[in-house]
Amino acid sequence: MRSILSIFKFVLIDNLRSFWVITYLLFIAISTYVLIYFTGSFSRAMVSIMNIVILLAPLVSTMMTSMYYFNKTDFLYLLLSQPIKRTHAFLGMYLGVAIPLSMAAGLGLILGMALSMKQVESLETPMVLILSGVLLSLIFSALSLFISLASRDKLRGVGFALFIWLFLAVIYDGLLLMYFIVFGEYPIEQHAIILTLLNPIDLSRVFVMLNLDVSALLGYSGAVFQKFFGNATGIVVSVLSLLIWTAAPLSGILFKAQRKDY
Amino acid sequence: MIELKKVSKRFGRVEVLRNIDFYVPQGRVISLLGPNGSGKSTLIKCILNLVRPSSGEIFINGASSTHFATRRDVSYMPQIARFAENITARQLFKLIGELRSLNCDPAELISYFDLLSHLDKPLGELSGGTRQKVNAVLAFLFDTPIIILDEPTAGLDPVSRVNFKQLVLREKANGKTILFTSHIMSDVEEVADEVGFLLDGKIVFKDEPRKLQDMTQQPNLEKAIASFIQSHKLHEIHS
Repeated sequence: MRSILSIFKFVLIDNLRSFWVITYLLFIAISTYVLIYFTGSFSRAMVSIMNIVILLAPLVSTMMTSMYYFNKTDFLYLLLSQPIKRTHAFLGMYLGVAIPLSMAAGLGLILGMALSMKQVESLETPMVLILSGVLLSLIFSALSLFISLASRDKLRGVGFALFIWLFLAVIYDGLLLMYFIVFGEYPIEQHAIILTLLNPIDLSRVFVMLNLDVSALLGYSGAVFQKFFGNATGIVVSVLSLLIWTAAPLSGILFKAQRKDY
Repeated sequence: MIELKKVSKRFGRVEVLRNIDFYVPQGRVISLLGPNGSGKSTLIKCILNLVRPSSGEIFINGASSTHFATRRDVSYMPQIARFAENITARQLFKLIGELRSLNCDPAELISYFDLLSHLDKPLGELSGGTRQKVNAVLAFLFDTPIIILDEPTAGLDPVSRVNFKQLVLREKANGKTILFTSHIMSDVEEVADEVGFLLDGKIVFKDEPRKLQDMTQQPNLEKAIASFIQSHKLHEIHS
C-alpha cells in the first residue's frame, strides 16, 4: 500500500503542475461563470453547463490518461523495475492521473459557481452536476488506462479510447433513439431505464435533468425516470452502476498489468 | 548472480530470444553486445521481468525473477529516459527510495556527477545528458548486488563518461555483478570482464573480449565484432 501512495503522490504532483490540468480547470470555471452570467439564471445555465461537463469531462479524462500512459513509458519501466507489485504501480498511476482530473472538473465547477454565487438558487442540482463531473472523470480515466494498457501502440490505444468516448457520448444515444423510434408502439420505458444504466454519460445526464425543471418536458418517459431514479432503490442501483463502471475497467487494468509485456 | 535457463521469447510469429542459457557470476562485469534488433533489450527486460519469457526460467541470486522481491537485489539504468516532466530529480530520488523502503543519501553521487545545480529543476527542463546523469545516480544509489545498465554512456559528455566508467570499476571492485549493453566498444574494452554476443536471439559468443579479437584476428574489439558478424552471416548462408 505504501508503494501505491508514493507513486500516487509523485504522479499527482506531476499532473498538478501540468499546464493542461490547470487550463482545463480554468476553462470549466470560466465557462460555468460565463454561462450563468449571460443566461442570467442559474437553473437555465445548468443545462448548458451539464452539456459541457458530461461531454468534456469524459473526453479530457480519456485523452489525458491515454497520453500520460504512452508518454511516460520510460517512467513506467523504471517503476516496474523496482521491487513492487505491478498492480501497485498501475493503481498509483491511475489515482495520480484520475484524481487531479476529477478535481479539476469539480473545482472548476465550484469556482465558476462561486464567482456567480449571488445567483445560486438551489444547491442540489450543482451538487449532482459536480458529482457527475467527478465520477465521469474517474470512470473515463479508468476506461482509457485499461484500453491503453491493452493496446499494442499509442495510435491504436488513443484511437480506441477516443472511439469508446465517441460511442458512449454520441453513437449510443443515436442507437437508443433508433430503438425508441422502431419500438415506439411498445411499452419500452423499463428498457430505457436499463439502457440508461448501461451508459455512465446518459446516467449522469438523466440525474442532472431530473433535478431541473426541464424534466417535465420529458413527458411520460420523464415521469417513469423520475419514479425510478427518484426513489431509494433507483438511487442505489444508479450509484452501483457508476461504481461498477469504475470498478470494471480498474479490475481490467489490474488483470492486464499482471500479464502484459512491456 | 544472474542465470537464464533455456529462455525463449516469442512476439507473435517473431522469435526474439531462442533457447538462451546465460550465466553472469557474482562480481563480474559482462557486456551484452549485438546489432540492433538482436534481442539485447528484450533479454534485459526478461531479467527485470518487464517481459515474461515464453519458456525457460530466470534466476536472480537463486530466486525466480518472476517474484517482485528479487528486484530488491537489482538496480536498473534505462537508456536516456523521459520520466515525469514536472518533477525534480530530488523528488525522483525520494520516490525510488520510498519504493525500495530505503533511506538513501544521494549527496556523494550528486556531487560526483555535478548535479547539485540541477537538483530542483523539473526533469523536463534538463538536457538529455543531464537526465542521463540523474539516471546514473539512480542506478548506483542503492547498494544492490546486481546493476543492469542499458546504453549507460549514450548522451554523456566525455568527462561524465570517464567518471561513469570509474564508478563502474569501483563497483566492480566492491564485488558487484554488472550487466550492461553498449555500442561504444572502447567502453566495453575498458570495463567488461566478458562479452556476451547476441545474434538473431541467440548467444553466439561469451568470453573475454580479448578472445574474440584473437578468434577473428582483428586489432581491436570493434573490428573483431564486425568481422564476427560477417563470418557468422556467411556461415548461415552456406549452411
